[in-house]
Formats: sequence, C-alpha cells, structure tokens
Amino acid sequence: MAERAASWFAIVLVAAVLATSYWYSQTLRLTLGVQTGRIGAVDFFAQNIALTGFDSLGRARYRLFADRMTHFGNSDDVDLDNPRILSLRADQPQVEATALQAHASNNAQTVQMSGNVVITRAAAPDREAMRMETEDLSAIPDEDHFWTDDPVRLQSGASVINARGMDFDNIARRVELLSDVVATFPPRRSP
Amino acid sequence: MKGRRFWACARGLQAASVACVLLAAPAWAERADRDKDANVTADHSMLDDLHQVQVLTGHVVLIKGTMRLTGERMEHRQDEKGYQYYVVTAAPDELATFHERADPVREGVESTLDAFAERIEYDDRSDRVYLYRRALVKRFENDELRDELSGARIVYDARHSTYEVDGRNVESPTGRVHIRIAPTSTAPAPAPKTAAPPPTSLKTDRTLPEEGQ
Repeated sequence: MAERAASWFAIVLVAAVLATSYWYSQTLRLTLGVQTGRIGAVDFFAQNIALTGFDSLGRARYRLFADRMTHFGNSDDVDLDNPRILSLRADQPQVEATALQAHASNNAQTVQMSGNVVITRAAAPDREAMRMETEDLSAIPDEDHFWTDDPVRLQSGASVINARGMDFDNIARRVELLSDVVATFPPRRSP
Repeated sequence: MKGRRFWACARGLQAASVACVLLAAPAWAERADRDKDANVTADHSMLDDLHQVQVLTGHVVLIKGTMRLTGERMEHRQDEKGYQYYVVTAAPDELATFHERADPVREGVESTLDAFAERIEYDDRSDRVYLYRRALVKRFENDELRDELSGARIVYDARHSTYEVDGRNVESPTGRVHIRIAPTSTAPAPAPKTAAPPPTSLKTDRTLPEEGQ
C-alpha cells in the first residue's frame, strides 16, 4: 500500500513539474511576443527623448526628438514614435523630418519613416523654403539621402509638384521625381 | 490696297533676303493667360535645388490659360522676382509646339497662333517666345490660316504683338525667310469701332538675340 502511494505521489509530482514547465514556457513566449516583435528583445525604452548626435570633431550634427524610443538589444534597432529630426549642418539650410513612426536599423545607418512623413528645408537667401510630403520614406541619414516609391508632394514657395516616387540627395541638392509628374507654377504676383 | 502692298513686301523678302524682319501681328496674346497658373505634366523630373533649375522629361505638356507648350524636355527656372522661364526641346526628328489664343480685336473673329521649332523658349518676364531651328509660325482666324512664317529663328513678342524672323543660323548661314501674309481685305469680319487692330508694319531689324539668351 505504501509503495502504491509512493508511485502515485511520484506521478503527481512529475505531472506538476510538467504542468509548471508548460505554463512557464507559454507565459515566457507570450511575454517575448509582446516585447520583441520581429527583431529581438527590448532592452530599454525611453519617453520624451531629446538626443543630440555629434560628428568626429565634436560638432552637433543633428537633434532627434521622439515621444518614445524603444531599443532592441540584439539587433541594436530602434523604434521611434512621433520622431522629429533636425539637421544642424552650419553650412546648409536646416532640414527637418517628422513622421508618425520610424524604425532605425544597422546602428541608425538606415531609417524607415512611415505615416505623414514631412521633410522641410528652410528658406535660404537665394531659395524659398521647400516641403515634401509622403507616406513612407527611406533614409540614409549619414548621407542625407532620402527616397520613396510612394506618391509625393513637393512645395517650393508657391510652386507645387506632385509625383510618384522620389530620390532626394540633400548633399548634392537634387530632387529626382520618378514618374507621373504634375507641376503647378503660379504667375508672378505683383508686389 | 494696304494688304496688297504688304503682300508685295513679303514676297520680295522671300525672294531676296536672309535678313531679319519685324512684323506686327494683328492681335495680342490673351492677356489673361499671364495671370494663370502654369500646369505642367511629364514622366520624370530632376530638380537642382542649388541652382533652382528643374528639368522635366518625357511627353512634357505645359498649359497656362489658352497657352499650350509641348516637347520632350523642359527646363524651368524662376528668377528672384518670380518670373518664369521655360526652354522646351523636341525629341529627335520631332518639333516642340506652342499654341496660344489671342485677345479678340474684331468681333466674331478668334485668332489663334501655332508655332513649331526644335527648341522653344518662353520668357514670362518679357512675354516673348523664341523659336530656334526649323521654326514655323501659323496664325489662324476662326481656324482659317491667315499668316505663315518660317525661318531658322523666330521671336514672337506677345506683349507688342510682333515677330522677328531670321533665316540664318550656324547650320544655314545663307538661310531664307519665308512669309505668307493674307491680305487684310479678305478678313472674315469687320473690325469693331472700339478696338482697331494694330497697324501692320514691315521693317528690317538686326537686333535678334542670340540663342540661349
């Protein structure tokens, strides 16, 4: 009788261990699913961030603001909510980019912006301010290079250009519109 | 009588000369066009933000009121005062086109102008249209061909309603000017009392600007 009771106790114990292990694994999987998404575990996040990047000479190159920054430890990727990036190149008019979301990967070598993406270039003595709007935009920040395959709207002064697809090189100061270009140039207004 | 004399002058020029001529057209370009937006469509565009020059390519069409400008490539720039400049070039073996309706100077007469050339420049500041190489201008009244001019270079001044025609260019230094002007006596409708057509004149002029100005 005592042997039978011991056997039952062992079976119950093993079952309890199995059940606990299963519960733990399920719990862990759900937790990881919420936190890691597609690129590994989140190791930290920050809210209402203001981040300044410097070049090798210690000069401020850009400022980044976001409501929330989520960092993924394994890949070093970053998700940004409501990001706003300001270029601080002293020799060029200020460029500002905003979007609803952004994802930076490869140590911020590439940035994918999505949702109400707006890039503005401040006015210069010889140029009017320029504004670009699109829904998705890829960027290589170190090269000041931006591109999209989506519809894009450009406004420079009172001129407006709509097109599909854009490649913007802010160092060479060239904007290439890839297809379906429709431009409106207003007449000169009397001062 | 005036029309016949004009005809004779034109024929004389066609037969004899490579000189520039200045002709007064009997209608002004539609003034309302100047205050309209220019709408341009194209397949592709490259904007040089540094030099503020935009190059549009592929089936380029510009519409500004009654004005229509077409070609394969268009260069657009705007000066610091807001004036617009357009340079349109045609695809190989084709011609760029310019179309415009003129302000009416006679009741019941609609005057339109069609121009063709390998390269057409439109200067918003001076209201001038420059036609280079294989240049041809045709003026119609109620869709009936009235005047026709051809040469190596034609400059159409929409503000003063004049043409400058030159038969010469680098490829054809002895080129000829061809002009056909319909006599005014066969005009389809009389001129209204309140808006007389500008006087028709014909005189030599050697101040044609160089290409690319």
